[in-house]
Amino acid sequence: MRFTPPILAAATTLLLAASAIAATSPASLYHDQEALTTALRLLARNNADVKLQSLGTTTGGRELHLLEVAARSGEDPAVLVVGNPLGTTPLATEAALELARRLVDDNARELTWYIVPALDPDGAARFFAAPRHADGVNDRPEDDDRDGASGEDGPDDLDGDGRIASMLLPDPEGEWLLDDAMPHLPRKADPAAGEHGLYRLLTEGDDDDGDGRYNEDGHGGAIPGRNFPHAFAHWQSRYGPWAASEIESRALLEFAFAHPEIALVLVFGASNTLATVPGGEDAADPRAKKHKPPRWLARMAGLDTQTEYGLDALLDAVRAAGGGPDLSEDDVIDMLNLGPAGTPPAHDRKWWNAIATAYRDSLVAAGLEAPRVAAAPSGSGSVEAWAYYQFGTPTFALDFWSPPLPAAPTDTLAADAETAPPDSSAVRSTVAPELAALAALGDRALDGPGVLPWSESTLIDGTRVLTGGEAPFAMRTPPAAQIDSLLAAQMPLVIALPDWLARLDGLDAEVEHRGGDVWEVTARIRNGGRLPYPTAQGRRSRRPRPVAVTLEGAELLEGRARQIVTQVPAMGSASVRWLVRGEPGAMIRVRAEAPGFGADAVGVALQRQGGGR
Amino acid sequence: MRCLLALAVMLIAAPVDAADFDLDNMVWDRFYDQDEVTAVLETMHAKHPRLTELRSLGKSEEGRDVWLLTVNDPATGPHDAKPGIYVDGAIHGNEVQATEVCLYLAWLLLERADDWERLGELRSRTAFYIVPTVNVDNRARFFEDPSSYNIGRSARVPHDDDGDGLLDEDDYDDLDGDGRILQMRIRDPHGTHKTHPDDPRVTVRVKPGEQAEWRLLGMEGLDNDGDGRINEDVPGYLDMNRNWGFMWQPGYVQTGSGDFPFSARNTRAVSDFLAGRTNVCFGFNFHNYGGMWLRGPGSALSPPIPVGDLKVFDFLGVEGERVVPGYRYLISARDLYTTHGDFDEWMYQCLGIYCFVGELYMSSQIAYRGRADEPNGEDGNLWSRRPPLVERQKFNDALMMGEMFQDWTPFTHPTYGEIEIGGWRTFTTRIPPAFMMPELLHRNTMYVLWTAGQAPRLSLEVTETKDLGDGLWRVRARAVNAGAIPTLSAKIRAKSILPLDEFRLEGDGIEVLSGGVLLDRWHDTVAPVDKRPQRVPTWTDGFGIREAQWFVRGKGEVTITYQGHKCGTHTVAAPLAED
Repeated sequence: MRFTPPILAAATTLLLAASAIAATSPASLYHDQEALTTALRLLARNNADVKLQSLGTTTGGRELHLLEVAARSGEDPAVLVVGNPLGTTPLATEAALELARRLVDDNARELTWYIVPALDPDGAARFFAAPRHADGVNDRPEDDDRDGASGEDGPDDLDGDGRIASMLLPDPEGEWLLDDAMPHLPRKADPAAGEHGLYRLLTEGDDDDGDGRYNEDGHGGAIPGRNFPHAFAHWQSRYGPWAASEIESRALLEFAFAHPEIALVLVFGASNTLATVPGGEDAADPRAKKHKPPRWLARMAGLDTQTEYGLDALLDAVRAAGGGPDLSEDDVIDMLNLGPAGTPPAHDRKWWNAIATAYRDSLVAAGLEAPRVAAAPSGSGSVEAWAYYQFGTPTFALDFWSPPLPAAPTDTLAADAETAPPDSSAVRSTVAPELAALAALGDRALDGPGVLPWSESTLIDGTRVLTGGEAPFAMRTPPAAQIDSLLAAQMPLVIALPDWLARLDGLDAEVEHRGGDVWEVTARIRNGGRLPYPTAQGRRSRRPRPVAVTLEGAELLEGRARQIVTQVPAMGSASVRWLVRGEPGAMIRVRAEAPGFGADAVGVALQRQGGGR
Repeated sequence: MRCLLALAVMLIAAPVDAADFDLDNMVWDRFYDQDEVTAVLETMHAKHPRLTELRSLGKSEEGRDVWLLTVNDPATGPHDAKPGIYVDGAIHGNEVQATEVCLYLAWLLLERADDWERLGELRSRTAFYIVPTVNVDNRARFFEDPSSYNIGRSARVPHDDDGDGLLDEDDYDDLDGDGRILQMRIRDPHGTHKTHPDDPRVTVRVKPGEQAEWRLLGMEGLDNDGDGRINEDVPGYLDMNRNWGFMWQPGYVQTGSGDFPFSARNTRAVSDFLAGRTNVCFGFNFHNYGGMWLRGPGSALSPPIPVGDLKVFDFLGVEGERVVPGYRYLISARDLYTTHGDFDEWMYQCLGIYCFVGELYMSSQIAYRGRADEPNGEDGNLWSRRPPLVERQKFNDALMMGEMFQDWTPFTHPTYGEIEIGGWRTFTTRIPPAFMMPELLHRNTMYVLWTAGQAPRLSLEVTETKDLGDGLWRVRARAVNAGAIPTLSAKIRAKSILPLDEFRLEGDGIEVLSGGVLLDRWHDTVAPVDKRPQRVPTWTDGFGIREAQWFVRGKGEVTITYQGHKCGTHTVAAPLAED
């Protein structure tokens, strides 16, 4: 079929004056780097227990702020909050700032909070730049297209509306067309329905370097929130050459590992792991499979390398071969060279689901239960996956807004759905539902329409193109006027999350007389939280420090002066035992502590009616 | 306590005078401690300032410099315009002789290349980047502290090895103060070992039902932290050869990998350097023990190596087995064991640079055997091919007058009471006796040099200027690579790690109408480029050719250039003149 440029027809029906973003736009209520710096400094200046630190400076010359809001009391665990790691969710930075303000006002604050409101300030700055461009890479120069030059062909604001949106480039080999019923929304052509594509859908911009490609080498760099070392994706443009290659990711990693008291990590961004708990029953679980042991393990445990064994059989064999009864399934999983965990262990999913249920109940209570566009999946190299799988702390990613899903499908789609038989070839590809939801907001999206009308522009080589489509940031960023109410409703849920944490909630020491001057001392550590310390994955990761229990004041007959408790169950307890020798009435002292769990000490006398404090 | 002592030694050790080393009469049947390594490098640079650059890539955890010696002949161009060979050693601090290999390589290049014609020619067209010691801290301590051949692999990054929440709290202890960490054994009729009937120094496991004499108690040490175990949390454990950025895995998957990729100072310093050295086409990472040229993949998580690169590895690896007899060219994950985050995987997978791990020295070289003798007794595992212990003792007696082994000596241990301390001394087992060093150094270094000789070596010619009339010309050019190593690895091309090489046609008043790679010069088959036809992106295989073709309009002279990161820039000119 002969290709007819559809540009004029499209332009005449669709061309609307694109409204440029006014200088006094309400977006100015979002904090840019300068305003954020000022706000953080103010908090630190006015509060003795609030400190503003710098984790470093980005290539773009922006400070990586960390606000420490100290606990009102002693050695309690800490929460690390990371805002806007992908650089494209300015609301996340607002949430982090709002959280800091509320914490500062909380006189009963029991935890220390480390808040990084903007992990990607270079990327975040593009929200405030002209033209506005949703691209979270940092400013590190990068030759994206490997042509020997860096940044020579970035996107361009062809229509001068102050925004980098989408571009429809007429191309007989293109896959895209504009929907008849919703002509402002592009969708893929469905060859089975007799359609053919008319355009390529690209980011708005010219082929600045004349290499035949569009916008293939723009800003930077890498997205910090894709550069963490769990499930890092190699050889992906914009993710960095390897994990922790970027200033921002490395700075956060260094800080976290220098602070073992961090017991919870919260990531504010585009994902929400309480709305959708990662993993699932059908996920690949090494426990549900059989495995061939590696050579050395087979030799050690008397197994056959060509036979597949269930995990319980492997565990029995390794225990019997000298591994000892303390060996866990996770230890055996490690021995199988299966690589990193892919889903949370089943035990962790229990508490995760419980918290997710509580979170959803709270949303209902806050009147925010209406269905909305799903949060983005965490994806590769995310902060939250690193924090949960490697740093070993409970970790939740949260987003705070996305466009509401229309109550019912649009007329066109509904009509199709009703009239077409389910397996009919007449069922055609449809507009992506999230784009439809954004479009349904009309002019009530970020700074006006969420889906911009298509307007015509001309490229350097004379090609006429349409620009418009999804407005940058609009899918994850509400109009600034909604920030306060959205955060006011959701911040209490955030502040309540640490209530779930494991915490050392009491230490008892009991003394039992064994005759003469010999006594049995039992120390019991109670966990008052609804999570174990550490979590199942935390234990597997071996990063959270164990609970150390020490005894002083008597000669030890059995047991070490310093004993280790590797896990304290949720709402449960663990005990350690000593046999000691001492004069009746002598005082002994038992102390238990783990950063991220708590510390306690108790003194008890060696006497027949041994008891607590 | 040991740390403090070592620190004191460091502080009072005077720097060795550079003049102490006479490069003309360099001695190679000995080992050089870290101060001496620095002094040798400084001497080399002082004597050959034009050919060398000596700089520190960074400081280690304990403040030592990680030295880089660049050897390049500036008369034939700057180092970064030539194919580069990277060689390092002793990323594990106890694998000491890897450093001497690096020094010997530099020494040959500086002291012999003026006499050996082919070596001089190789030096003139190749840049050598030599990091003699990566793990400067523990290699220094290997000489300074009480040590053993298996001690000092880690970086000096504190780590909780035994999961008790404390860091490095139970080091080895030199109980008898002899400057060595040796074995401990206790007489125990219910033990596991007995004295070998043929040699009282050898302790062997009893057979079932046999009367035991001894129980082995591990390495010399105390239960410093009172947890009922000995030496269970020694200084470190960050294995710098698990800390690199390709598919790095955390400690629960890969022991000793560190908190995150490049968390160790030295791996970061070296990686920062290498990531910017795009002319490097081959890397050697020298370790000790086993006699192997190892390549990736290191684990099943690692993707398979493209067949084009396998051919290169195989061609080079087979030669390595011959230049160093006994060495085997092996694949880490398949032939040894699974590892994540190694240096060679990062080099190849992330930078697209071919790389071998050279495992220097085999215990099988400890031979005391006549032509009719059969090896007897227990054998070692795959990579050690260890000779029977009694044969090792015979070697020790016959060739080293017994100096390799510390005889068992009584000692009163605070926990065990009467024990014996003894065993193979520090510079044994993984390290050859010094008299064997010159051949080890020479053979391994010559293999590095042979491999350097396989770096991309390009020549460029104009093969045709054909007058098609009316000022239209067809111009063809050919690049020939005389080295086995392609100008760009298949990995680099598959993952767009670097820009492709480029054929370029230029000329005053010349209009380039079309250009492309000439796939078949007899059938005129061309893969044309879409835009900017004067530039034809491409690469040239090892022992391969690459041809380009252009249609141009105009007259005068055309200049054709072939430029690539790893093969330098080559230019030829040809007139467009009517015959």
